Amino acid sequence: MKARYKNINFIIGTVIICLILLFLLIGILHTPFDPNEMNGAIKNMAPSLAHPFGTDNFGRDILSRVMVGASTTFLVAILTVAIGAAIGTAVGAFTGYYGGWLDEVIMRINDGVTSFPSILLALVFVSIIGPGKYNVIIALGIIFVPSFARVIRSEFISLKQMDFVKNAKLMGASDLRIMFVHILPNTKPILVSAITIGFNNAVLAEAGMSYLQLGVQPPDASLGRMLSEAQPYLMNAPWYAMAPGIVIILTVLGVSLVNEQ
Amino acid sequence: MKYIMKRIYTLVITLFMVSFLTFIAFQVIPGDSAVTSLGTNATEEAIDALREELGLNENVLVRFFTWIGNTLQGDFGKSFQYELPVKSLVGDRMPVTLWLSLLSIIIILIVSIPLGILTAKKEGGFIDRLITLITNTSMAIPPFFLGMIITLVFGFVLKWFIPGRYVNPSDNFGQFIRFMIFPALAIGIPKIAMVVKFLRSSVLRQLKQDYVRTARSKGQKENTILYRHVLKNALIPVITFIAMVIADIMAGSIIIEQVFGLPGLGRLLVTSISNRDYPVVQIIILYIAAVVVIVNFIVDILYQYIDPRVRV
Repeated sequence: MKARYKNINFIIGTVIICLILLFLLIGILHTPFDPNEMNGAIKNMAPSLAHPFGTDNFGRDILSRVMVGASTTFLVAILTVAIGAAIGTAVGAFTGYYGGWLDEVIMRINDGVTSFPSILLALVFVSIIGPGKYNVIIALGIIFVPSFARVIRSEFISLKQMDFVKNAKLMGASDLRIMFVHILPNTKPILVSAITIGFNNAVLAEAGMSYLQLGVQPPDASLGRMLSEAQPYLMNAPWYAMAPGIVIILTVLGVSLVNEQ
Repeated sequence: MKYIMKRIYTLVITLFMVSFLTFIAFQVIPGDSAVTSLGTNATEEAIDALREELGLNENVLVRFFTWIGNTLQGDFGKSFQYELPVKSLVGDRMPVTLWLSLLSIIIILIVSIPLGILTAKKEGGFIDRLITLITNTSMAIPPFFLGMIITLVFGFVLKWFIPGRYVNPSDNFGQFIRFMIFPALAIGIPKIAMVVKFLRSSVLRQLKQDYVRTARSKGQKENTILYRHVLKNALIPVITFIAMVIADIMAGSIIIEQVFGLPGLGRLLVTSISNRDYPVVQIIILYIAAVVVIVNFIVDILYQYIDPRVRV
């Protein structure tokens, strides 16, 4: 009973992710309208056949803008996680494998960083290096390093005592080879799960930063940015805010449903 | 006692490190406060004179200790943008953020603890699955979008509050609380989901323990077992979790204040970052960081009172 229930979640999650990816792919190849083309005659129009998600305060097609915005948001999230996972895995591998005082120091710093809310750290970074798409990627990427480092480190600590590692050592394998050829593949399930959670957090963080207008800057569209632009029209054109919001929710929900499996 | 002393020692060191890092971080920025406050058109002499006056020619460590010394004495410096002491700027906005956080915490505790117990009790049943589905979904909603939905539903459709019309607590406290409940809900709902999920798994883990079997074999009622024995043990990890949630609430209020137009610390932080008003940014970040560190400290202490095993 329980297994089937989980299975259903997994299937729903996969379907949602596939739909979102399809939506993204279409958006990259073709958008129904030019996402930046303004048309004064069709301001704040409710959803219709020509404009399924309606139009915004400048008469731009919301569907096209959501497509472009979603790809920006995804790009930021993927690169953020890539930076966090790459550096975090390396740090976690070295500290977990060698231990010692360096491990102690790095883990104390890690604990300190992870106890702070990530949006606050991101704001500190952005106030120092300035807003913008790439700055947000760098800021969030660095902030995501400690969580990956911690997970990978604890895996390395338990795995380095396994027999296959001793075996490899006896056969004369170098430390680097043991770490990245022998141990690292065994951390895959944990790493994949950390990456999916990280991806969700990155989507939400990007949306939050851009909503505060400290993230992605115009003319780049992003889902968070669209939401902040939509807010003044919440009463007269609620569909403007709904479209980007629902795409964010579906993305995060889909990924977390699949991850639970 | 020794444990508490050790924790206090760590607390002081952490606070010192945090303030040092906050200070250093803002020294990296090109252009110093003399240039920022006088603008690019100022003459070289005027900038030099102001630098001397602000003590910017000293070395970094001297400036840090001057800054931290002044901060400890309650002198937070002056905002570039508002030409006002940072202390009065921050002091005016602090109560709003504190009330917002307090209300969210109350909402989270009132709703999540009974729900967490209920889902664990009915594990696998319809209610459990329904609540799990709702909690999963609400965790996927960005808090500011939830805030917008709440504004739309409760503000524009049901007209339970007037969006954007913030009421000052000194004008009408009842109206103030009535308004603040909605932003507090926007912060609270995703956190409720997290706490419910966490408490549910904590209760389920405890229910599998031997002492529960013993209690059952002695013929105790399920409810007695649940409330007298299981809950006490199940709440211990939840307390640590709630400390994390409090840190999150502080961060969440930064965004939610923007959605509801509340004149709180978060909004001041965001405008100050946009205007590069660093004295204000530094103090607010230091303040939020200090709250996080101190909450963690209190939880550590609480934890060892509830569960003496952690002292070992």
